[in-house]
Amino acid sequence: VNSFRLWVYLQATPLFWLTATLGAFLVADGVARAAGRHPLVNPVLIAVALVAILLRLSGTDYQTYFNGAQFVHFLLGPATVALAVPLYRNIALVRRNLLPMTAALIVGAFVAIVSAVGVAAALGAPHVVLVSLAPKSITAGVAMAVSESLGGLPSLTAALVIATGIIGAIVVTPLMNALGIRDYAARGFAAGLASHGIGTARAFTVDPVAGVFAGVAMGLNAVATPVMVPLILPWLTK
Amino acid sequence: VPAGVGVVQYGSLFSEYGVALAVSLVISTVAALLATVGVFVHVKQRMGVS
Repeated sequence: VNSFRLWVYLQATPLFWLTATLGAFLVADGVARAAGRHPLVNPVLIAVALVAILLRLSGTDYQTYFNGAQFVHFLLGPATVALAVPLYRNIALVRRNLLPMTAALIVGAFVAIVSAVGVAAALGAPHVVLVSLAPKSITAGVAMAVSESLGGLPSLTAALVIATGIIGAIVVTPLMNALGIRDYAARGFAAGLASHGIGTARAFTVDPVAGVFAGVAMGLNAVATPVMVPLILPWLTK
Repeated sequence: VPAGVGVVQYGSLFSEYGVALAVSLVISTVAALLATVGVFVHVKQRMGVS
């Protein structure tokens, strides 16, 4: 009875879910490290699964969980701003690649939106899902704002953003190796554009230059996609 | 992680449209990676950037 009371007390404490999230990530990161940072052993995916299982076992609803864990979510903002540090250190390299980056940004952002919405629409997904899906390649905070402003479901968008990041982080290295792409600026830029912060984190583990370009792509796409989605979406969802 | 855990709210939606969403996310992510890296490398080669 005492342990049950203790559980009820802890569950109602915001710090419990914050601690559970950090603990789940530490465990997940340990597993990823033990696996040699293999792309299939993604720490975010493992941590999400661990927390989701804990919520299911404890019968806790998502809002209660998020109230406790929102401090971690808030840190997405400062973490994104911190990407400016490696960018500043490699500013000359970035300047030399300004034109390739601009062209790749426009094409990549367009392809990401059109392919996602086009395939989901062809497979019968309803309008609200298509709207929630459209900004899935950009960082969660901005994607949720875009989704909400266009009538989507922001928390569904957040889940799709994370799924996109995990898929990108898993496929980017084998895909680029298979294609024989050895330009780490191009590889990193693609990773950051297609799969935001999770792709950027993956790029930094592969090569520092890839990480810098991934961070730049992530930042630029957080501007390009919110401009493109309202222009493209009406044509795709007619 | 907290945003990703949001999937627990959409059990019924995922059971109905999960396949469409999964196929869409995989195809779109790979397409975006290929388009971005292809254009980047092509433009860089045309410019002769090292």
